[in-house]
Amino acid sequence: MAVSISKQDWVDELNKPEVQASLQKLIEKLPDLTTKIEQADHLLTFGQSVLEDERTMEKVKMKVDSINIDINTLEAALRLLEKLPLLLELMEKLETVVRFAENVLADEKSIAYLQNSVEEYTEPLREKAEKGRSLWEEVQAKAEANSQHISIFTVLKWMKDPSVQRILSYVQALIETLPKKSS
Amino acid sequence: MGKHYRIIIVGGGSAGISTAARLLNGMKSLAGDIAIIDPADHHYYQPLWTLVGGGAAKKEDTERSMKEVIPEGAVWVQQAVASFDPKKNEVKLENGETLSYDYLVAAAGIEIHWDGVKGLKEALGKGGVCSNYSYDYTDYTWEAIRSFKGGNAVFTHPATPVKCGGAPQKIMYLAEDHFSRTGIRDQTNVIFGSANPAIFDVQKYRDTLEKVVARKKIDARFRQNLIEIRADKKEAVFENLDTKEQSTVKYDMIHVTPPMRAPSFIRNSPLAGENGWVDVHPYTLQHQTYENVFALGDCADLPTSKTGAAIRKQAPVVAENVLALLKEEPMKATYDGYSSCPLVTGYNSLVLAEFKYGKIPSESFPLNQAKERRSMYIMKKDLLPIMYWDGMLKGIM
Ligand SMILES: Cc1cc2nc3c(=O)[nH]c(=O)nc-3n(C[C@H](O)[C@H](O)[C@H](O)COP(=O)(O)OP(=O)(O)OC[C@H]3O[C@@H](n4cnc5c(N)ncnc54)[C@H](O)[C@@H]3O)c2cc1C
Repeated sequence: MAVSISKQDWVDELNKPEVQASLQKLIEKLPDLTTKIEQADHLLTFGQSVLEDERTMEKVKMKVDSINIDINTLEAALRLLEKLPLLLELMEKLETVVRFAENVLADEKSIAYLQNSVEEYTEPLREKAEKGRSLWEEVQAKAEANSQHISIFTVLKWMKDPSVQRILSYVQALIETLPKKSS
Repeated sequence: MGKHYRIIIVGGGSAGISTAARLLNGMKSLAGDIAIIDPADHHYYQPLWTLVGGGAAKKEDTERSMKEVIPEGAVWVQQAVASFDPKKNEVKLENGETLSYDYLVAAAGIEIHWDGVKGLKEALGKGGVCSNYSYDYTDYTWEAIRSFKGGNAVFTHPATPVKCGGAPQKIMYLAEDHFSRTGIRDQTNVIFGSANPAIFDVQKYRDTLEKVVARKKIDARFRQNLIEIRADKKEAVFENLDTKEQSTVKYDMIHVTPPMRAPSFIRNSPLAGENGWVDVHPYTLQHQTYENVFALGDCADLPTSKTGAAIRKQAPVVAENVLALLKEEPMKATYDGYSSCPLVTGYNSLVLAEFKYGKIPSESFPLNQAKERRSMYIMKKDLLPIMYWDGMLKGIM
């Protein structure tokens, strides 16, 4: 799957006018490049003689040793590579959510619509709150009077509350129904 | 010879706009090379019209200018298509101009056949005759429900395919709920005259809805097709589809779901199949004869319910398959017939019917959706419109 995606990306890439323009430039520069490659060839021969030179090689070894690439790093890199398709899928989902959120935030009409809905739902609650004192004031007063330290455990305790659980499972259901890349 | 576009999309409704957005998201270099042909000044989120008719949403919230919804990179040709010449890869516009394409996507919606019921067009919008199937009259539905003082409240479902098969009964449930709340339910007969043989196609939801109909004491009469409105006498004439017998029902208000059909310029074109809809493959959505033509939405010949929710699943399929052909790759995306109908059963409850080809339920939420739920009502009223404007029309949801 990862292979076909990257192939598609390449095709898209090649379709971009700016990529096409760079390709053309590259072709124009080919003669110039040939000379450069010849120079590089000289450099390689030079490199080879360096490799054969023991003293210089010692120095190179020290350099490599001081960079912490060991077998563990390589293993981690391989495992990461293995996980890339999954990560890609997650990233794509996340991208959908982020782009959706960006669109909503940039859309004044949607924001107004949401605000209106929220007001509709809170209206009856507000009416229930004590006369002369709005619900918000009450909440604010409560919050200010609360000296209890709110830790992650307090939050976890809240999460167990059935009404919170209901909302959370609703959110989860929404996230799960977001379109999968393959569907 | 007119202008050439790599892709021409006919119709800038739910289907056309979301497909265009997906194509442009998938291949940026198509910018300037996709044309959307649509004569309309405005684009509508029609699913909310039911709630507008029920007085629970504002009509203005369902309308945006076409300019606002055309995705960046698409060229809007504000014209009506008059005819197709798929052999030459050309469409002819009403102003006589011809445009040519490499790929064509037909997304022109459904045609409301107001003349299909005698006397309806003249009667609409006054004397208690209303319909949610026109933006212009959705608010008159609420007017008719609100000012109803008892008597016969009649709701109809025609003998043709309709967009959103549930909408004809949803408005009835809202009205019944309103009559109960305002204390006039006792003086009211709620009558459902439907050409269908049962309340709903899919068994699972039919079971629930039959209970809703019984609970609400609705007089449901099946195989009854509305053929005439006699506005002067406030009479509706129905024909029994099996016996051809005609019967007259007195009404004090009547909500009509008019007959519908494929748009005439499609019906009379080489793209149409026998019944007038665009003849596409049910899984790939590619035309059965012309390989560079696709169709989706209400105008496509698909054996499933015509809804915006269905389009949400069709648009990615059309976009991916067209992109595959553009890249000379095999087409891989398929549509499974998914469609959905949020059946509003009252002001705070909803049965979310979701199903695919073969009328098999295909539900998104980890709960029994055949139950009436408030959470689903909130989703329809508050979340779906936003998901539509900012997700589906942007090609990301
Ligand atoms: C009252 C009501 C309630 C509904 N409820 C729901 C619901 O709850 N859930 C749901 O999913 N769906 C619902 N729907 C259905 C949903 O709105 C439609 O299925 C959906 O809008 C169809 O999209 P479309 O792009 O095929 O057609 P449309 O969105 O109708 O767009 C068609 C476009 O084609 C253009 N056009 C027409 N003729 C031409 C021409 N000659 N040349 C060029 N362009 C042309 C039109 O101007 C229009 O912009 C409801 C519909 C109604 C009316």
